[in-house]
This record gives sequence, C-alpha cells and structure tokens, in this order.
Amino acid sequence: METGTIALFVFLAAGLVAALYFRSSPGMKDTPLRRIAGLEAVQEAVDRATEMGRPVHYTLGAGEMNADMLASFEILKHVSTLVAERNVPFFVSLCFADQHVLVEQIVKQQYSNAGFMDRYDPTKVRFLGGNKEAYQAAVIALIQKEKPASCFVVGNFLSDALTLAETGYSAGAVQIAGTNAITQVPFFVATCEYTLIGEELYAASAYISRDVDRLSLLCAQEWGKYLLFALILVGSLLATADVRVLETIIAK
Amino acid sequence: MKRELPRAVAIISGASILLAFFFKAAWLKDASNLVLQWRVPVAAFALAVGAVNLIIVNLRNLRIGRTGKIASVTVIVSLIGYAILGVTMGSGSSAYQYVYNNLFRHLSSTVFSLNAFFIAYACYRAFRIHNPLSVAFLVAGLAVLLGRVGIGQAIWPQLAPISDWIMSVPNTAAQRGIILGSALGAIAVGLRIIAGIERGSYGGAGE
Repeated sequence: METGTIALFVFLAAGLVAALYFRSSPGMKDTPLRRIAGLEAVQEAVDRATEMGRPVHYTLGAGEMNADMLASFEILKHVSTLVAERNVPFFVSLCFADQHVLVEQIVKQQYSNAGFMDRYDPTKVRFLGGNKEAYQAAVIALIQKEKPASCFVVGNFLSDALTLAETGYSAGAVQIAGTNAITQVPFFVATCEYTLIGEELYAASAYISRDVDRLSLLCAQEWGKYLLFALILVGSLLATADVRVLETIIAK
Repeated sequence: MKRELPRAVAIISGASILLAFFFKAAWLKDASNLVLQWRVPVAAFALAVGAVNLIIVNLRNLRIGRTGKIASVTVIVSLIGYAILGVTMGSGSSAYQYVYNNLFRHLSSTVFSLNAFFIAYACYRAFRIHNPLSVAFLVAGLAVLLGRVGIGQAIWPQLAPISDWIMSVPNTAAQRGIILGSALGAIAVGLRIIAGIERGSYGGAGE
C-alpha cells in the first residue's frame, strides 16, 4: 500500500461525514459566502456584451480534462443561461474533441432550459483541432474577427493562457479568467480584469447555484483546510523538536 | 433515463477507480483498468464528432460567404488530405512524416514563439506604479528578471541570491498555499461527481 493511503482515506471519510453534518444543518442554503469578484462580474460582463452588441467568448484552454474543466462547466452553464436570455451572440472555442461533446450538450441544455432553443446555434461551439498551437492560432483569429465584448478564459491552461488573454485584451474585451495551473495564474492576474485563483474556481458551483449539497461540501472543504493548517503547524513544531509521531501516523 | 444513465456511468466509473486506489482487491483493480481502457475508444469517437463539427463549420463559412474563406478551404483540405494520407500510407510513411516535420512542427513553433512577444507586452503593462503593492510587484519583478541574467549579476552580484530568495521563499509559499486550497477543491469536485451531486453536462430540465 502506498505511503499515506490510510491517512488519506480517513481524511476523505471525515470530509464526507462533515459534509453530511453541514447538509443537515438548518439554514445551510443561506450560508454567507465571501464575495468573489470574478463570479460577481459574470453578469456584468454579459450585460456589457448586450449593451455593446458584441459577442461573448468562452474558452476552456488547451490543458487536459481535469477538475478545472469540470469546475469551468458550472460557470459555462451560468454564462450560457445569461446569453440565451439576453440574445447575445456567443461562441465557445475548444481544443479537444471530448470537451466539444460535453460543452455542446451543456450549452444546448441551458438554451433549452431558458426557453430559447430557437436562439441556439450548434456551430458556435467550435472544436479547433487537437493541437495546442493550432487552437491558439484559431482563437487569436476568431477573437480578432469577432471582437467579443467579454471573454471568459476559465479552465485548464498551458502556454496558451497568456496568448489568449493578451488577444482578448487587444480586442478590448473584459476578461474573467480562472485556472489552477499555478504557472499560468500570474499571467492571468497581469492581463485580466478578474481572476479566479485556486479554490475560488471550485467554489463557483456552490456560489452560483446555492445548492445545499454543494454548499455543505464547500463548508467541509473549508474545515479540511483549517485541519491541514493545524497539522502543518503542529507538524512543523514537532519536526523542529525531532518528534516524529505525527509523521509516522500520516505516513501509514 | 437520459439523466440517470450518464450519472450512473460516472458514479460507477469514478467509484471503481477511487476504491481500487484504497482497497487492493484484484476485481477492483480489473474494474478500474477496464474503465481506464474505455477512455481510448470514447476519445476516438469524440475526435470523430469534433472533426465533423470542424468540417461543418468551415463549409458553412464558405456557403454563406463569410470572411476567411481561404482559411476555411485550407482547414478542410488539410484535415481531409492529411487523414487520407495517414490512412492509406500509414503514420510512419515518409510522406506523412515529411508533412509533419516540415510543415506542422514549424507552424507550431511559430505560434509558440508568439509567447515571447506577449510576455514582453504583458510585462510592459503590468509593471506600472499605481499603489504601494504595485511598487513591491515592480521591485520584485525587476530583481528576479535581472538576477537571472548575466548583465544583472554584472550590475550587482547580490541580485542573483536575492532573485533566488524571492523565488524559493515568498513565491514558493504563495504557490503552496494556492495548491493546498485548490487540491481540496479538486477533491470536492471529484467527490461531487462520484456522489452524483455534480450533474454538469447530464442535462435535464432545471439543472
């Protein structure tokens, strides 16, 4: 068994128990959440596109499908609903074909849920080839041609992050970015108006939907973070005193 | 059924891989490997759907006379032509490799090299003094930039150790803090999918 497996299992089990406890707490739906500027600005960005009569652009990046992409789907659902209701031109740029199948379904479903299926155009969800550089070149060309008023650059990014953000900036778009690719976060912070960093991206699901299940998992996640901080602090002090008890327990 | 079946597949797939990590049972390991192997044909079918979408969109551009017709023709011809070349002559053939090595790789390198100019322009816009924090950002950025190159060390030899300290202490601390929070968030996303809470692209009215 790999090092730390038992400790990880106990940690996950404790997290699930905590989530169940929070779920059963009264008033969970009204739990106050810290204001996340990037998520608050989503509606403002779509409204800007509506007023200017210019499209909204959404892209998920050239990185592989991971938790960042899944978290981005929640924001995509919200944006799709808003553009459907406001009848704003909308196009999505994708690097990988497996993203394309999922994203097309998401966007179509949101248009349907909003009751504006007639406004849905399947050709606006565009697969731009499976190669990162080809995808970058295609997005640059698309943004320069379509001149979107708002760009959502949320997902898993590699070296394409800066290229996409700078191109959006040069087109005059308001940009909301979000990724956990630690090497790309500085580029987004430097070039975009709003950046979702770290867990802010994963909190989007609970923040937007205010669903009790997601809120309870978010609360459990917060407490897990406090527990980790305590373990780091205690572990550092014990390691300084050359006491290896905690290290031995966690390594099981 | 339209919602329940994809959700059931996601739950079973995720749970089998997660349980195989914690419990060393042979049948769990086999189930986990089977699920992982399914990724390949699923990705292949998705690629086919994506290629069809690419062709449809570019044909539509040609039909309605939008700008960029030359680009659309290039995409369609190169996509279909290269696919036929690969299928008929094989991906190891000299013709296939010639196109890849002499066309595709150079085009990829060209696009990648744009990053250098974008980084320079981003630095020009980012290193501006608005408030005390931006002063700290400017000083730290310049120290790291100059400390990494020979001319910086020629100007002041202490720039290199300062640059190393900035990268290894405050930068690493900030990165680890972000990674810690995002790791917990990623675990929560995974658990939401395995528990069937994250409905994502399963569709369904009101979701």
